[in-house]
Amino acid sequence: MSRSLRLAAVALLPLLGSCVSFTYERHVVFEPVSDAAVGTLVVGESDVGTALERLGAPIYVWEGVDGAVVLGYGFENQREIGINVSVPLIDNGNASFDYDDVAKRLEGYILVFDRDLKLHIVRKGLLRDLALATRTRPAFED
Amino acid sequence: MARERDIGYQGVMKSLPILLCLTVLTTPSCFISKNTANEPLQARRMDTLKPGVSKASDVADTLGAPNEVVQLGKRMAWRYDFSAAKTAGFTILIVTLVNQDTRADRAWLFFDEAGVLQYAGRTLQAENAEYAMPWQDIHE
Repeated sequence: MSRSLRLAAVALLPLLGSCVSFTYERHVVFEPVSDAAVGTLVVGESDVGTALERLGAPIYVWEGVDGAVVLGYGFENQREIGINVSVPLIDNGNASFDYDDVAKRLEGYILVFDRDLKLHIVRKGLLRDLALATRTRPAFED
Repeated sequence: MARERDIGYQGVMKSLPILLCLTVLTTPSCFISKNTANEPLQARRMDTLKPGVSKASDVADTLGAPNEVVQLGKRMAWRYDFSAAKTAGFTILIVTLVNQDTRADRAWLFFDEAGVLQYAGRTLQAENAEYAMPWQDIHE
């Protein structure tokens, strides 16, 4: 290997890290609720107190439609593989292209209680999607 | 003698790029960090609050201001939480491995129309946060 080639390799190494990088990340957020514990809740019988006792504190509490109370339980365990490429265009700026596959979503259960706080509906899935169907707007926005 | 010294110096300078390459290749870095938000929840304090007896003012006196208040018609719910996130990472050249584990202590207290505590539920998991690598199972 010629001397100039070796020098070029040394000079490029520190730069390479800032131009191209590969990342493997895992994000764990909270702990999953037990399917078995959710299964012990009975629609029309179990109330909010029973749910709190068996499942613990929810992540979210929302006001539902017609005085309903909605509890959201969930967790996230997402892995992401990413390639970040940064290409200098002019002296005082650069353009970054981010190919990260980001999917940060909490999944779990939504429990809907009626105005008497009796369990009405149980749904499993992504909290973001489930919340749209059950959540009502705060009164001050109406 | 002086010539031998020159040859030695030149030899070191000649191999410097290779030495630098080897240094860079063999010096990966790792890091850990811990972030927390709010104060840890105290189970003993919460145990003094009794559903059907304690009022919202008692809860505020005992636990302080909640992190969130949700209005539920004429009822309301208060949230208290403490979260801990532990991050561990490893970098070698252009490859980075990162794991972030976030757990929380969380309590929700539900009050009736009269502002009396009706239900209380809590989950204490903040201390379960772990430093780990992305491929390790930490939910067992």
